[in-house]
Amino acid sequence: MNNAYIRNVEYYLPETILGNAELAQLYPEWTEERIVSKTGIRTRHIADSDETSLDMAEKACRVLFERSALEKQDVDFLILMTETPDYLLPASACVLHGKLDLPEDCGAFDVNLGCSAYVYGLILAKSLIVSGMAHNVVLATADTYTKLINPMDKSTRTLFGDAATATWISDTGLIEIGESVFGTRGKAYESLIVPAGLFRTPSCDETKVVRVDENGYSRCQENIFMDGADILSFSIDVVPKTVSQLLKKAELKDEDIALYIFHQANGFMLSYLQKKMKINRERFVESFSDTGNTVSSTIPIALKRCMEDGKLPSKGNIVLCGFGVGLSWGGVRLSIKDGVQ
Amino acid sequence: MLLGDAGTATLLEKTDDRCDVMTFGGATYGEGFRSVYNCYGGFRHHAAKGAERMDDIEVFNFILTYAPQAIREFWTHTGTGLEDYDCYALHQASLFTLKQLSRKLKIGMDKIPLSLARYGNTGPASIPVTLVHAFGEHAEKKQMRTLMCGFGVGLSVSAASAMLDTADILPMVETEEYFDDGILEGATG
Repeated sequence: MNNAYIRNVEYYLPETILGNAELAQLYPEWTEERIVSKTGIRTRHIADSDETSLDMAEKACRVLFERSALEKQDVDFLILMTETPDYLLPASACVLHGKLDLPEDCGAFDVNLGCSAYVYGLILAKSLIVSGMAHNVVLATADTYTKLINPMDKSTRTLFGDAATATWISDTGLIEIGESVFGTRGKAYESLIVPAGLFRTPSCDETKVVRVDENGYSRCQENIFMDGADILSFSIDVVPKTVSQLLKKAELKDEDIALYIFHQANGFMLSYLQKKMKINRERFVESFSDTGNTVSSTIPIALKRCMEDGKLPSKGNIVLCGFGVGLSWGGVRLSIKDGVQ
Repeated sequence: MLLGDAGTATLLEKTDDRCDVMTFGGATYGEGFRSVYNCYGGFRHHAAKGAERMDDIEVFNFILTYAPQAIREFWTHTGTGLEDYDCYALHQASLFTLKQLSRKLKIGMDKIPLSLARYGNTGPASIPVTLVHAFGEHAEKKQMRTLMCGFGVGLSVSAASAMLDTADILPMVETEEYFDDGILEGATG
């Protein structure tokens, strides 16, 4: 049977940076220090008004082709994970395929998932490779949540940033994609949602009315709504369970795991999970203070930074876990064979 | 005049029977994306609202070039040929397109079930809708070697085969039920 391996990861962050000083000016009751202590985030990268997920994904993919031994004619599938596509149709992956000049015998499709997207994408890519349908898959993630956030909604504007990533997955390599577990809590979909603007509730005057909620956060129904308390309790419920199911499936113990890379939601949630799961800091990756929560891109950015900083073990296991909008989650084990770096 | 709405559900199970399910020959034609698209409502052109755009001639050319090529490649790749399939379940783009494909590939129209006249082109649902329309009410149980080919928005094309049992193809359900999430009524915050 074929195995699937991560060969390279690259990412792109938009140029415009939003700092806490600027936010503190908008929200007089919140100081810069308060924003950092609540979120752990100092800056976020924001896509320009005419820069879309597709543009960012294209930039990340171009860096991937520049810095990898992957030839375009050898790409069998292009998968784009995004919740903020350029068009209702076609899939942004198809447009991206054309912009990147990929060969015509390359399949391309989008998947609409957010914080759990990267783990799903890795397993989709692995499935295509293991079943013999592909040798090389390019997995891109890209989201522009900031375009959906009301500027006066402190609860989300302080957290989210924009980014895109591109990962080369191949049938040869050193970082093997191993066991995985997935889950969905579909009944709780309203906890993180853009309620209106598509077919269920089309855009109308009413959906554009900005209201202030009981916490003093402003938004209309075409903006992102996040019930922070619900999402926090959801995450601290499912993440430890998912990791223990994954370890059981892989027949591993906590001490066999060299690194845990979770979805980089925010500082408060990550430090809660780290303490609750009793993972020591050396093995617990935190990489969000300069980017904020970049949704589908947080895990690959953190993984790439570990590669660059020499934090990947030369041999051993890494656990990735994504969780959020859906509500949806997934965990996967990566195992590094002798010889990487 | 062409398009209709539908939803479908397909159950896939792991079995020990030998069957050439889902051998894939996909092609994407990203440069041609302007031929079928809705430019409004996504993030590229966010504010305005407009109609779906379809460049008939370009899409037609695309289908007649790439769909026969995909099916021929599929035959070659799987070591099969025209006669190895009892049923060609093709995306219901238009009657004219299907007749052209039949002519180009020499597949008799008796092997190409149609659902267009009743349901129109239901987009991603059109292949299963066609199978349901043709075989959903079938009383007799029949094993059917089926080759499916879809083509369109992307522009994108793919083919897959499966051994289908007509007893497993259920009748069409027509419903007016829908789900109300209460977003507008509950517009408080």
